[in-house]
Amino acid sequence: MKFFLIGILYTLLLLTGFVNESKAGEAEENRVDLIGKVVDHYYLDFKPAGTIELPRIIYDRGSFHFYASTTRLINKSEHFTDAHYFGSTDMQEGNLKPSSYIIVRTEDGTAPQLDLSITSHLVFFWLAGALVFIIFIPLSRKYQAGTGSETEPKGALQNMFEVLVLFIRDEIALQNIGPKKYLFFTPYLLTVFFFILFMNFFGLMPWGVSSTADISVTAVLALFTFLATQIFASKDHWKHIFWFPGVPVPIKFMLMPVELMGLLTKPFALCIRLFANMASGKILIFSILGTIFIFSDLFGPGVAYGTSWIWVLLTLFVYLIKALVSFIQAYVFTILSALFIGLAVADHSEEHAH
Amino acid sequence: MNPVLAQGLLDVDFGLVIWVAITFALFMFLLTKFAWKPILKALDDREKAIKDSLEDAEKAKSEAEQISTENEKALKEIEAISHKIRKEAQEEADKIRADRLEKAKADSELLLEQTRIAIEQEKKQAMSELREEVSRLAVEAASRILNEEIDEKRAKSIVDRFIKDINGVR
Amino acid sequence: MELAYLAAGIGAGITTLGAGIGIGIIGKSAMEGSARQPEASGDIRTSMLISAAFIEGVALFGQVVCIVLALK
Repeated sequence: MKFFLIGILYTLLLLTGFVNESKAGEAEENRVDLIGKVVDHYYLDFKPAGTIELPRIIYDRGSFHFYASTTRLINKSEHFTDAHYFGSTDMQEGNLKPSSYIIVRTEDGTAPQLDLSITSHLVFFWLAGALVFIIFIPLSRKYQAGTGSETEPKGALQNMFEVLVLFIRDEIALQNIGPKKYLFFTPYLLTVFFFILFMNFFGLMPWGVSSTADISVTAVLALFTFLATQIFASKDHWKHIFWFPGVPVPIKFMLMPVELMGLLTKPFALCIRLFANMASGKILIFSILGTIFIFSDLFGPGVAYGTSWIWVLLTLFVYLIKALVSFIQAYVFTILSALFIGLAVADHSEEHAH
Repeated sequence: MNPVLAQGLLDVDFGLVIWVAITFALFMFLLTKFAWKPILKALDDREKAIKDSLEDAEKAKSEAEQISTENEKALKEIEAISHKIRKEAQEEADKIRADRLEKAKADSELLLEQTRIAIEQEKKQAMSELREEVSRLAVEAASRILNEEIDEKRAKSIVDRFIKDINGVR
Repeated sequence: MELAYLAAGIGAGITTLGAGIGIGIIGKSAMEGSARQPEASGDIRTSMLISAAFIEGVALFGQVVCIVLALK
Protein backbone atom coordinates (compact mmCIF):
# COMPACT_ATOMS: atom_id res chain seq x y z
CA MET A 1 0.00 0.00 0.00
CA LYS A 2 2.58 2.50 1.15
CA PHE A 3 4.87 1.63 -1.71
CA PHE A 4 2.21 2.12 -4.25
CA LEU A 5 1.65 5.54 -2.75
CA ILE A 6 5.35 6.31 -2.70
CA GLY A 7 5.42 5.32 -6.35
CA ILE A 8 2.73 7.87 -7.11
CA LEU A 9 4.71 10.39 -5.12
CA TYR A 10 7.77 9.96 -7.30
CA THR A 11 5.71 10.37 -10.41
CA LEU A 12 4.27 13.54 -8.96
CA LEU A 13 7.69 14.81 -8.03
CA LEU A 14 8.86 14.27 -11.58
CA LEU A 15 5.76 15.96 -12.87
CA THR A 16 6.30 19.00 -10.65
CA GLY A 17 9.86 19.14 -11.90
CA PHE A 18 8.80 19.32 -15.53
CA VAL A 19 6.00 21.76 -14.86
CA ASN A 20 8.26 24.02 -12.92
CA GLU A 21 10.82 23.99 -15.68
CA SER A 22 8.36 24.94 -18.36
CA LYS A 23 6.88 27.80 -16.35
CA ALA A 24 9.86 28.51 -14.19
CA GLY A 25 9.39 32.22 -14.17
CA GLU A 26 5.94 32.56 -12.67
CA ALA A 27 5.96 29.40 -10.54
CA GLU A 28 9.08 30.38 -8.65
CA GLU A 29 7.47 32.52 -5.95
CA ASN A 30 4.42 30.24 -5.54
CA ARG A 31 6.42 27.12 -4.95
CA VAL A 32 5.76 25.21 -1.73
CA ASP A 33 8.76 23.40 -0.36
CA LEU A 34 7.30 19.91 -0.06
CA ILE A 35 10.20 18.23 1.69
CA GLY A 36 10.52 21.30 3.89
CA LYS A 37 7.20 20.30 5.45
CA VAL A 38 8.69 17.03 6.64
CA VAL A 39 12.24 17.87 7.65
CA ASP A 40 13.37 19.32 10.94
CA HIS A 41 13.20 23.04 11.73
CA TYR A 42 14.65 25.38 14.29
CA TYR A 43 11.22 26.92 14.85
CA LEU A 44 7.67 25.76 15.54
CA ASP A 45 5.39 26.57 12.66
CA PHE A 46 1.96 27.93 13.58
CA LYS A 47 1.02 29.45 10.25
CA PRO A 48 -0.80 31.71 9.75
CA ALA A 49 -0.40 32.82 13.36
CA GLY A 50 3.36 32.92 12.99
CA THR A 51 6.37 30.94 14.11
CA ILE A 52 8.12 30.45 17.41
CA GLU A 53 11.86 30.25 17.19
CA LEU A 54 13.53 27.68 19.36
CA PRO A 55 16.68 28.13 21.44
CA ARG A 56 20.03 27.46 19.81
CA ILE A 57 22.73 25.64 21.72
CA ILE A 58 26.04 25.36 19.98
CA TYR A 59 29.17 23.65 21.17
CA ASP A 60 32.30 24.97 19.57
CA ARG A 61 35.96 25.00 20.57
CA GLY A 62 35.47 23.79 24.11
CA SER A 63 32.57 26.01 25.17
CA PHE A 64 28.79 26.01 24.93
CA HIS A 65 26.93 29.00 23.49
CA PHE A 66 23.29 29.51 24.40
CA TYR A 67 20.91 31.77 22.51
CA ALA A 68 17.17 32.17 23.08
CA SER A 69 16.43 32.10 19.34
CA THR A 70 18.11 32.09 15.96
CA THR A 71 17.29 35.79 15.49
CA ARG A 72 19.03 36.60 18.74
CA LEU A 73 22.01 34.52 17.72
CA ILE A 74 22.44 36.30 14.42
CA ASN A 75 22.08 39.74 15.91
CA LYS A 76 23.98 39.31 19.18
CA SER A 77 26.64 36.71 18.56
CA GLU A 78 30.10 37.67 17.44
CA HIS A 79 31.08 34.02 16.90
CA PHE A 80 28.32 32.78 14.60
CA THR A 81 26.06 33.98 11.86
CA ASP A 82 23.51 32.67 9.37
CA ALA A 83 25.16 31.00 6.41
CA HIS A 84 23.13 33.28 4.16
CA TYR A 85 24.66 36.42 5.63
CA PHE A 86 28.21 35.16 5.73
CA GLY A 87 30.53 37.41 3.82
CA SER A 88 27.99 40.15 3.15
CA THR A 89 29.33 43.39 4.51
CA ASP A 90 26.32 45.71 4.46
CA MET A 91 24.48 44.10 7.37
CA GLN A 92 22.32 46.36 9.51
CA GLU A 93 23.13 45.43 13.06
CA GLY A 94 20.21 44.56 15.30
CA ASN A 95 17.32 43.55 13.04
CA LEU A 96 18.44 40.71 10.83
CA LYS A 97 15.97 37.92 10.15
CA PRO A 98 17.19 34.33 10.02
CA SER A 99 17.28 33.08 6.47
CA SER A 100 18.76 29.61 6.08
CA TYR A 101 18.92 28.77 9.80
CA ILE A 102 22.27 27.13 9.09
CA ILE A 103 24.81 28.49 11.54
CA VAL A 104 28.42 29.12 10.51
CA ARG A 105 31.41 30.70 12.22
CA THR A 106 31.74 34.41 11.56
CA GLU A 107 35.46 34.26 10.90
CA ASP A 108 35.75 31.56 8.22
CA GLY A 109 32.23 30.43 7.27
CA THR A 110 32.70 26.82 8.43
CA ALA A 111 30.19 24.87 10.52
CA PRO A 112 30.61 24.76 14.28
CA GLN A 113 31.70 21.50 15.91
CA LEU A 114 28.33 20.44 17.27
CA ASP A 115 24.91 21.96 16.91
CA LEU A 116 22.87 20.90 19.93
CA SER A 117 19.99 23.25 19.16
CA ILE A 118 16.45 22.44 20.15
CA THR A 119 14.50 21.54 17.01
CA SER A 120 10.83 21.10 16.26
CA HIS A 121 11.17 17.33 16.16
CA LEU A 122 12.88 17.35 19.52
CA VAL A 123 10.10 19.50 20.98
CA PHE A 124 7.47 17.07 19.74
CA PHE A 125 9.54 14.16 20.98
CA TRP A 126 9.52 15.75 24.42
CA LEU A 127 5.80 16.46 24.10
CA ALA A 128 5.19 12.78 23.38
CA GLY A 129 7.29 11.91 26.42
CA ALA A 130 5.39 14.41 28.54
CA LEU A 131 2.11 12.91 27.35
CA VAL A 132 3.27 9.45 28.38
CA PHE A 133 4.17 10.85 31.79
CA ILE A 134 0.88 12.73 32.15
CA ILE A 135 -1.09 9.59 31.33
CA PHE A 136 0.87 6.88 33.09
CA ILE A 137 2.15 8.48 36.30
CA PRO A 138 -1.38 9.18 37.62
CA LEU A 139 -2.42 5.79 36.32
CA SER A 140 0.32 4.06 38.30
CA ARG A 141 -0.73 6.06 41.40
CA LYS A 142 -4.24 4.80 40.80
CA TYR A 143 -2.98 1.23 40.56
CA GLN A 144 -0.92 1.62 43.73
CA ALA A 145 -3.97 3.03 45.52
CA GLY A 146 -5.77 -0.23 44.76
CA THR A 147 -8.00 0.59 41.80
CA GLY A 148 -7.16 -2.01 39.23
CA SER A 149 -4.91 -4.10 41.43
CA GLU A 150 -7.58 -5.22 43.88
CA THR A 151 -10.70 -4.16 42.03
CA GLU A 152 -11.57 -3.91 38.37
CA PRO A 153 -10.09 -0.97 36.40
CA LYS A 154 -12.32 2.09 36.46
CA GLY A 155 -12.79 4.75 33.83
CA ALA A 156 -12.22 4.86 30.08
CA LEU A 157 -8.59 5.96 30.34
CA GLN A 158 -7.51 3.18 32.65
CA ASN A 159 -9.41 0.54 30.68
CA MET A 160 -8.06 1.70 27.36
CA PHE A 161 -4.42 1.85 28.40
CA GLU A 162 -4.63 -1.32 30.44
CA VAL A 163 -5.68 -3.17 27.31
CA LEU A 164 -2.65 -1.81 25.48
CA VAL A 165 -0.27 -2.56 28.34
CA LEU A 166 -1.59 -6.09 28.67
CA PHE A 167 -1.42 -6.56 24.91
CA ILE A 168 2.23 -5.53 24.85
CA ARG A 169 3.07 -7.67 27.85
CA ASP A 170 1.23 -10.82 26.78
CA GLU A 171 1.07 -10.74 23.00
CA ILE A 172 4.35 -9.02 22.19
CA ALA A 173 6.81 -9.55 25.06
CA LEU A 174 5.71 -12.96 26.28
CA GLN A 175 5.14 -14.39 22.81
CA ASN A 176 8.47 -13.29 21.38
CA ILE A 177 10.89 -13.22 24.29
CA GLY A 178 9.67 -16.18 26.29
CA PRO A 179 8.39 -16.66 29.83
CA LYS A 180 11.81 -16.39 31.52
CA LYS A 181 13.02 -12.94 30.55
CA TYR A 182 10.02 -11.11 29.16
CA LEU A 183 9.30 -9.07 32.29
CA PHE A 184 12.77 -7.52 32.13
CA PHE A 185 12.18 -6.14 28.62
CA THR A 186 8.51 -5.22 28.97
CA PRO A 187 9.21 -1.69 30.32
CA TYR A 188 11.43 -0.93 27.34
CA LEU A 189 8.83 -2.21 24.88
CA LEU A 190 6.08 -0.23 26.61
CA THR A 191 8.17 2.94 26.50
CA VAL A 192 9.01 2.49 22.83
CA PHE A 193 5.43 1.67 21.88
CA PHE A 194 3.81 4.63 23.59
CA PHE A 195 6.52 7.07 22.49
CA ILE A 196 6.19 6.06 18.85
CA LEU A 197 2.41 5.99 19.05
CA PHE A 198 2.15 9.49 20.49
CA MET A 199 4.83 10.87 18.17
CA ASN A 200 2.93 9.44 15.20
CA PHE A 201 -0.34 10.89 16.44
CA PHE A 202 1.21 14.34 16.86
CA GLY A 203 1.87 14.26 13.13
CA LEU A 204 -1.87 13.97 12.52
CA MET A 205 -2.71 17.10 14.49
CA PRO A 206 -2.89 20.58 13.02
CA TRP A 207 0.55 22.29 13.21
CA GLY A 208 1.83 19.05 14.68
CA VAL A 209 5.02 17.40 13.51
CA SER A 210 5.60 13.69 13.75
CA SER A 211 9.09 13.24 15.11
CA THR A 212 9.18 9.69 13.78
CA ALA A 213 9.35 11.18 10.28
CA ASP A 214 12.92 12.13 11.17
CA ILE A 215 15.60 9.55 10.51
CA SER A 216 17.66 10.77 13.48
CA VAL A 217 14.87 9.96 15.94
CA THR A 218 14.11 6.54 14.46
CA ALA A 219 17.84 5.82 14.33
CA VAL A 220 18.09 6.42 18.06
CA LEU A 221 15.11 4.15 18.74
CA ALA A 222 16.60 1.43 16.54
CA LEU A 223 19.94 1.95 18.28
CA PHE A 224 18.31 1.27 21.63
CA THR A 225 16.86 -1.99 20.34
CA PHE A 226 20.24 -2.88 18.87
CA LEU A 227 21.95 -2.18 22.20
CA ALA A 228 19.33 -4.21 24.05
CA THR A 229 19.93 -7.18 21.75
CA GLN A 230 23.71 -6.93 22.03
CA ILE A 231 24.08 -6.20 25.74
CA PHE A 232 21.69 -8.91 26.91
CA ALA A 233 22.54 -11.41 24.20
CA SER A 234 23.10 -15.00 25.25
CA LYS A 235 26.29 -16.96 24.55
CA ASP A 236 24.47 -18.81 21.78
CA HIS A 237 23.81 -15.54 20.00
CA TRP A 238 27.53 -14.79 19.69
CA LYS A 239 28.27 -18.39 18.89
CA HIS A 240 25.81 -18.28 16.00
CA ILE A 241 27.46 -15.14 14.66
CA PHE A 242 31.15 -16.01 14.89
CA TRP A 243 31.22 -19.81 14.91
CA PHE A 244 28.00 -21.18 13.50
CA PRO A 245 27.37 -24.59 15.09
CA GLY A 246 26.67 -27.71 13.09
CA VAL A 247 28.28 -26.80 9.76
CA PRO A 248 31.74 -27.57 8.30
CA VAL A 249 34.61 -25.21 9.12
CA PRO A 250 34.88 -23.42 5.71
CA ILE A 251 31.17 -22.64 5.83
CA LYS A 252 31.64 -21.22 9.32
CA PHE A 253 34.00 -18.61 7.84
CA MET A 254 31.58 -17.89 5.03
CA LEU A 255 28.66 -17.45 7.40
CA MET A 256 30.49 -14.99 9.66
CA PRO A 257 30.17 -11.88 7.43
CA VAL A 258 26.61 -12.83 6.51
CA GLU A 259 25.63 -13.04 10.17
CA LEU A 260 27.44 -9.80 10.95
CA MET A 261 25.58 -8.05 8.18
CA GLY A 262 22.31 -9.49 9.44
CA LEU A 263 23.15 -8.06 12.84
CA LEU A 264 23.36 -4.56 11.39
CA THR A 265 20.56 -4.72 8.83
CA LYS A 266 17.96 -5.55 11.47
CA PRO A 267 18.14 -2.21 13.33
CA PHE A 268 18.75 -0.39 10.05
CA ALA A 269 15.53 -1.81 8.63
CA LEU A 270 13.72 -0.89 11.85
CA CYS A 271 14.95 2.68 11.55
CA ILE A 272 14.21 3.10 7.85
CA ARG A 273 10.81 1.40 8.03
CA LEU A 274 9.41 3.70 10.68
CA PHE A 275 10.94 6.81 9.12
CA ALA A 276 9.79 6.01 5.57
CA ASN A 277 6.26 5.12 6.58
CA MET A 278 5.76 8.26 8.61
CA ALA A 279 7.53 10.63 6.22
CA SER A 280 5.81 9.29 3.11
CA GLY A 281 2.35 9.81 4.61
CA LYS A 282 2.91 13.50 5.06
CA ILE A 283 4.61 13.98 1.70
CA LEU A 284 1.74 12.10 0.13
CA ILE A 285 -0.91 14.40 1.58
CA PHE A 286 0.95 17.46 0.33
CA SER A 287 1.51 15.86 -3.06
CA ILE A 288 -2.15 15.01 -3.52
CA LEU A 289 -3.23 18.48 -2.49
CA GLY A 290 -0.49 19.85 -4.76
CA THR A 291 -2.11 18.09 -7.69
CA ILE A 292 -4.85 20.75 -7.60
CA PHE A 293 -2.25 23.45 -8.28
CA ILE A 294 -0.49 21.36 -10.91
CA PHE A 295 -3.85 21.00 -12.69
CA SER A 296 -4.32 24.72 -12.37
CA ASP A 297 -0.96 25.25 -14.08
CA LEU A 298 -1.58 22.63 -16.75
CA PHE A 299 -5.27 23.08 -17.66
CA GLY A 300 -6.31 26.35 -16.08
CA PRO A 301 -8.02 27.23 -12.80
CA GLY A 302 -11.46 26.01 -13.92
CA VAL A 303 -10.38 22.40 -14.23
CA ALA A 304 -8.50 22.67 -10.96
CA TYR A 305 -11.60 23.88 -9.09
CA GLY A 306 -13.76 21.24 -10.78
CA THR A 307 -11.56 18.33 -9.86
CA SER A 308 -10.42 19.55 -6.47
CA TRP A 309 -13.05 17.53 -4.59
CA ILE A 310 -11.39 14.30 -5.84
CA TRP A 311 -8.08 15.30 -4.32
CA VAL A 312 -9.63 16.49 -1.08
CA LEU A 313 -11.49 13.18 -0.68
CA LEU A 314 -8.33 11.29 -1.52
CA THR A 315 -6.45 13.34 1.07
CA LEU A 316 -9.06 12.44 3.65
CA PHE A 317 -8.63 8.78 2.75
CA VAL A 318 -4.85 9.04 3.02
CA TYR A 319 -5.26 10.79 6.36
CA LEU A 320 -7.31 7.88 7.68
CA ILE A 321 -4.70 5.43 6.35
CA LYS A 322 -2.06 7.53 8.09
CA ALA A 323 -3.95 7.19 11.38
CA LEU A 324 -4.03 3.43 10.89
CA VAL A 325 -0.39 3.33 9.86
CA SER A 326 0.55 5.33 12.98
CA PHE A 327 -0.80 2.53 15.09
CA ILE A 328 0.49 -0.31 12.93
CA GLN A 329 4.00 1.11 12.75
CA ALA A 330 4.19 1.54 16.51
CA TYR A 331 3.04 -2.07 16.83
CA VAL A 332 5.43 -3.33 14.17
CA PHE A 333 8.41 -1.52 15.67
CA THR A 334 7.60 -2.95 19.10
CA ILE A 335 6.95 -6.50 17.95
CA LEU A 336 10.09 -6.56 15.79
CA SER A 337 12.14 -5.18 18.70
CA ALA A 338 10.69 -7.93 20.88
CA LEU A 339 11.42 -10.50 18.19
CA PHE A 340 15.06 -9.41 17.78
CA ILE A 341 15.56 -9.29 21.54
CA GLY A 342 13.91 -12.70 21.84
CA LEU A 343 16.19 -14.16 19.17
CA ALA A 344 19.27 -12.71 20.84
CA VAL A 345 18.52 -13.70 24.44
CA ALA A 346 17.09 -17.14 23.63
CA ASP A 347 18.96 -20.00 25.22
CA HIS A 348 19.21 -22.72 22.60
CA SER A 349 20.96 -25.20 24.86
CA GLU A 350 17.68 -26.36 26.40
CA GLU A 351 16.11 -26.92 23.02
CA HIS A 352 19.04 -28.97 21.78
CA ALA A 353 19.11 -31.08 24.91
CA HIS A 354 16.00 -33.09 24.12
CA MET B 1 21.01 21.42 -6.78
CA ASN B 2 17.76 19.56 -6.64
CA PRO B 3 14.85 22.03 -6.65
CA VAL B 4 12.41 19.72 -4.88
CA LEU B 5 14.51 17.76 -2.44
CA ALA B 6 16.60 20.76 -1.45
CA GLN B 7 16.92 19.90 2.18
CA GLY B 8 18.15 16.44 3.02
CA LEU B 9 15.49 13.99 3.98
CA LEU B 10 18.07 11.42 4.96
CA ASP B 11 20.48 13.75 6.77
CA VAL B 12 21.26 12.64 10.28
CA ASP B 13 21.47 15.54 12.71
CA PHE B 14 23.98 14.51 15.37
CA GLY B 15 22.82 17.16 17.81
CA LEU B 16 19.31 15.77 17.61
CA VAL B 17 20.61 12.21 17.95
CA ILE B 18 22.43 13.10 21.16
CA TRP B 19 19.42 14.95 22.59
CA VAL B 20 16.99 12.16 21.74
CA ALA B 21 19.28 9.44 23.02
CA ILE B 22 19.84 11.16 26.37
CA THR B 23 16.24 12.18 26.92
CA PHE B 24 14.88 8.84 25.77
CA ALA B 25 17.14 6.99 28.18
CA LEU B 26 16.08 9.36 30.96
CA PHE B 27 12.37 9.02 30.11
CA MET B 28 12.70 5.26 29.97
CA PHE B 29 14.41 5.13 33.35
CA LEU B 30 11.81 7.38 35.01
CA LEU B 31 8.86 5.66 33.37
CA THR B 32 10.17 2.23 34.30
CA LYS B 33 10.62 3.28 37.89
CA PHE B 34 7.45 5.28 38.42
CA ALA B 35 4.97 3.92 35.88
CA TRP B 36 5.68 0.54 34.35
CA LYS B 37 6.95 -1.33 37.39
CA PRO B 38 3.97 -0.36 39.63
CA ILE B 39 1.46 -0.95 36.86
CA LEU B 40 2.90 -4.32 35.90
CA LYS B 41 3.09 -5.31 39.56
CA ALA B 42 -0.52 -4.29 40.15
CA LEU B 43 -1.67 -6.22 37.10
CA ASP B 44 0.31 -9.22 38.21
CA ASP B 45 -1.19 -9.02 41.71
CA ARG B 46 -4.66 -8.80 40.32
CA GLU B 47 -4.12 -11.73 38.01
CA LYS B 48 -2.72 -13.75 40.87
CA ALA B 49 -5.70 -12.87 43.06
CA ILE B 50 -8.10 -13.85 40.30
CA LYS B 51 -6.21 -17.06 39.69
CA ASP B 52 -6.22 -17.89 43.42
CA SER B 53 -9.91 -17.24 43.82
CA LEU B 54 -10.62 -19.29 40.74
CA GLU B 55 -8.56 -22.13 42.14
CA ASP B 56 -10.40 -21.84 45.45
CA ALA B 57 -13.73 -21.96 43.70
CA GLU B 58 -12.56 -24.97 41.72
CA LYS B 59 -11.48 -26.69 44.91
CA ALA B 60 -14.77 -25.94 46.67
CA LYS B 61 -16.65 -27.18 43.66
CA SER B 62 -14.71 -30.42 43.54
CA GLU B 63 -15.25 -30.90 47.27
CA ALA B 64 -18.97 -30.37 46.92
CA GLU B 65 -19.00 -32.79 44.06
CA GLN B 66 -17.16 -35.34 46.14
CA ILE B 67 -19.63 -34.98 48.99
CA SER B 68 -22.54 -35.33 46.68
CA THR B 69 -21.10 -38.46 45.10
CA GLU B 70 -20.49 -39.89 48.56
CA ASN B 71 -24.07 -39.19 49.53
CA GLU B 72 -25.29 -40.83 46.43
CA LYS B 73 -23.12 -43.84 47.06
CA ALA B 74 -24.42 -44.19 50.64
CA LEU B 75 -27.96 -43.87 49.39
CA LYS B 76 -27.35 -46.60 46.88
CA GLU B 77 -25.85 -48.86 49.52
CA ILE B 78 -28.81 -48.36 51.82
CA GLU B 79 -31.16 -49.11 49.00
CA ALA B 80 -29.30 -52.28 48.18
CA ILE B 81 -29.39 -53.41 51.81
CA SER B 82 -33.10 -52.75 52.15
CA HIS B 83 -33.70 -54.59 48.94
CA LYS B 84 -31.74 -57.53 50.22
CA ILE B 85 -33.63 -57.58 53.52
CA ARG B 86 -36.94 -57.45 51.75
CA LYS B 87 -35.92 -60.25 49.52
CA GLU B 88 -34.83 -62.40 52.42
CA ALA B 89 -38.05 -61.77 54.30
CA GLN B 90 -40.00 -62.66 51.22
CA GLU B 91 -38.05 -65.85 50.81
CA GLU B 92 -38.54 -66.79 54.44
CA ALA B 93 -42.22 -66.12 54.24
CA ASP B 94 -42.44 -68.21 51.12
CA LYS B 95 -40.59 -71.02 52.82
CA ILE B 96 -42.78 -70.92 55.88
CA ARG B 97 -45.87 -70.94 53.79
CA ALA B 98 -44.61 -73.83 51.74
CA ASP B 99 -43.71 -75.75 54.89
CA ARG B 100 -47.11 -75.17 56.35
CA LEU B 101 -48.79 -76.24 53.18
CA GLU B 102 -46.67 -79.35 53.04
CA LYS B 103 -47.46 -80.21 56.62
CA ALA B 104 -51.16 -79.64 56.19
CA LYS B 105 -51.13 -81.76 53.09
CA ALA B 106 -49.32 -84.56 54.91
CA ASP B 107 -51.70 -84.31 57.83
CA SER B 108 -54.73 -84.53 55.67
CA GLU B 109 -53.22 -87.44 53.75
CA LEU B 110 -52.53 -89.26 56.99
CA LEU B 111 -56.05 -88.65 58.16
CA LEU B 112 -57.39 -89.82 54.86
CA GLU B 113 -55.28 -92.99 55.05
CA GLN B 114 -56.41 -93.74 58.56
CA THR B 115 -59.99 -93.20 57.56
CA ARG B 116 -59.57 -95.41 54.56
CA ILE B 117 -58.02 -98.17 56.69
CA ALA B 118 -60.80 -97.89 59.21
CA ILE B 119 -63.35 -98.05 56.43
CA GLU B 120 -61.56 -101.04 54.95
CA GLN B 121 -61.53 -102.82 58.29
CA GLU B 122 -65.14 -101.96 58.83
CA LYS B 123 -65.85 -103.26 55.41
CA LYS B 124 -63.89 -106.44 56.00
CA GLN B 125 -65.57 -106.97 59.26
CA ALA B 126 -68.92 -106.28 57.76
CA MET B 127 -68.11 -108.66 54.92
CA SER B 128 -67.00 -111.47 57.21
CA GLU B 129 -70.00 -110.89 59.39
CA LEU B 130 -72.19 -110.87 56.34
CA ARG B 131 -70.54 -114.04 55.07
CA GLU B 132 -71.02 -115.78 58.37
CA GLU B 133 -74.51 -114.53 58.51
CA VAL B 134 -75.13 -115.69 54.98
CA SER B 135 -73.55 -119.12 55.63
CA ARG B 136 -75.48 -119.49 58.81
CA LEU B 137 -78.65 -118.44 57.09
CA ALA B 138 -77.89 -120.81 54.22
CA VAL B 139 -77.11 -123.65 56.56
CA GLU B 140 -80.22 -122.91 58.48
CA ALA B 141 -82.21 -122.72 55.33
CA ALA B 142 -80.66 -125.86 53.97
CA SER B 143 -81.11 -127.74 57.22
CA ARG B 144 -84.67 -126.69 57.25
CA ILE B 145 -84.99 -127.86 53.69
CA LEU B 146 -83.05 -131.04 54.10
CA ASN B 147 -83.74 -131.41 57.80
CA GLU B 148 -81.78 -134.20 59.38
CA GLU B 149 -80.31 -135.44 56.12
CA ILE B 150 -77.21 -133.52 56.39
CA ASP B 151 -75.47 -132.86 59.53
CA GLU B 152 -74.63 -129.44 60.41
CA LYS B 153 -70.92 -129.88 59.93
CA ARG B 154 -71.07 -131.09 56.42
CA ALA B 155 -73.63 -128.56 55.40
CA LYS B 156 -71.40 -125.79 56.65
CA SER B 157 -68.52 -126.95 54.48
CA ILE B 158 -70.82 -126.98 51.47
CA VAL B 159 -71.97 -123.45 52.15
CA ASP B 160 -68.42 -122.31 52.66
CA ARG B 161 -67.47 -123.74 49.31
CA PHE B 162 -70.43 -122.08 47.80
CA ILE B 163 -69.50 -118.70 49.23
CA LYS B 164 -65.97 -119.20 48.06
CA ASP B 165 -67.29 -119.84 44.61
CA ILE B 166 -69.30 -116.70 44.81
CA ASN B 167 -66.16 -114.87 45.91
CA GLY B 168 -64.23 -116.45 43.13
CA VAL B 169 -66.79 -115.47 40.55
CA ARG B 170 -67.06 -112.02 41.80
CA MET C 1 21.37 14.59 -13.66
CA GLU C 2 17.96 14.12 -15.22
CA LEU C 3 18.66 10.43 -15.69
CA ALA C 4 19.05 10.10 -11.93
CA TYR C 5 15.45 11.25 -11.48
CA LEU C 6 14.32 8.77 -14.10
CA ALA C 7 16.25 6.00 -12.37
CA ALA C 8 14.77 7.01 -9.03
CA GLY C 9 11.25 6.93 -10.41
CA ILE C 10 11.66 3.59 -12.17
CA GLY C 11 13.47 2.10 -9.19
CA ALA C 12 10.75 3.20 -6.81
CA GLY C 13 8.16 1.67 -9.10
CA ILE C 14 9.97 -1.65 -9.28
CA THR C 15 10.54 -1.88 -5.53
CA THR C 16 6.87 -1.08 -5.04
CA LEU C 17 5.98 -3.85 -7.47
CA GLY C 18 8.15 -6.39 -5.66
CA ALA C 19 6.89 -5.48 -2.23
CA GLY C 20 3.31 -5.48 -3.47
CA ILE C 21 3.64 -8.97 -4.91
CA GLY C 22 5.37 -10.25 -1.80
CA ILE C 23 2.90 -8.80 0.67
CA GLY C 24 0.05 -9.94 -1.55
CA ILE C 25 1.29 -13.53 -1.43
CA ILE C 26 1.65 -13.31 2.35
CA GLY C 27 -1.87 -11.96 2.70
CA LYS C 28 -3.24 -14.69 0.44
CA SER C 29 -1.52 -17.47 2.35
CA ALA C 30 -2.53 -16.00 5.70
CA MET C 31 -6.15 -15.81 4.63
CA GLU C 32 -6.10 -19.37 3.36
CA GLY C 33 -4.44 -20.48 6.55
CA SER C 34 -6.92 -18.80 8.84
CA ALA C 35 -9.84 -20.00 6.74
CA ARG C 36 -8.65 -23.57 7.14
CA GLN C 37 -7.79 -23.20 10.80
CA PRO C 38 -9.79 -20.35 12.31
CA GLU C 39 -8.53 -21.19 15.80
CA ALA C 40 -4.94 -20.37 14.75
CA SER C 41 -5.84 -17.04 13.14
CA GLY C 42 -4.21 -15.03 15.95
CA ASP C 43 -0.82 -16.67 15.46
CA ILE C 44 -1.18 -16.45 11.71
CA ARG C 45 -1.92 -12.73 11.91
CA THR C 46 1.16 -12.08 14.03
CA SER C 47 3.50 -14.02 11.77
CA MET C 48 1.86 -12.42 8.74
CA LEU C 49 2.63 -8.96 10.10
CA ILE C 50 6.18 -9.94 10.93
CA SER C 51 6.94 -11.39 7.50
CA ALA C 52 5.22 -8.44 5.83
CA ALA C 53 7.44 -6.16 7.88
CA PHE C 54 10.53 -8.02 6.69
CA ILE C 55 9.51 -7.69 3.06
CA GLU C 56 8.72 -4.06 3.71
CA GLY C 57 12.22 -3.64 5.11
CA VAL C 58 13.84 -5.02 1.95
CA ALA C 59 11.66 -2.81 -0.22
CA LEU C 60 12.49 0.19 1.94
CA PHE C 61 16.16 -0.31 1.23
CA GLY C 62 15.28 0.03 -2.44
CA GLN C 63 13.27 3.16 -1.70
CA VAL C 64 16.18 4.64 0.21
CA VAL C 65 18.48 4.03 -2.73
CA CYS C 66 15.94 5.81 -4.94
CA ILE C 67 15.74 8.77 -2.57
CA VAL C 68 19.52 8.96 -2.55
CA LEU C 69 19.47 8.96 -6.35
CA ALA C 70 16.90 11.74 -6.38
CA LEU C 71 18.95 13.72 -3.89
CA LYS C 72 22.07 13.44 -6.01
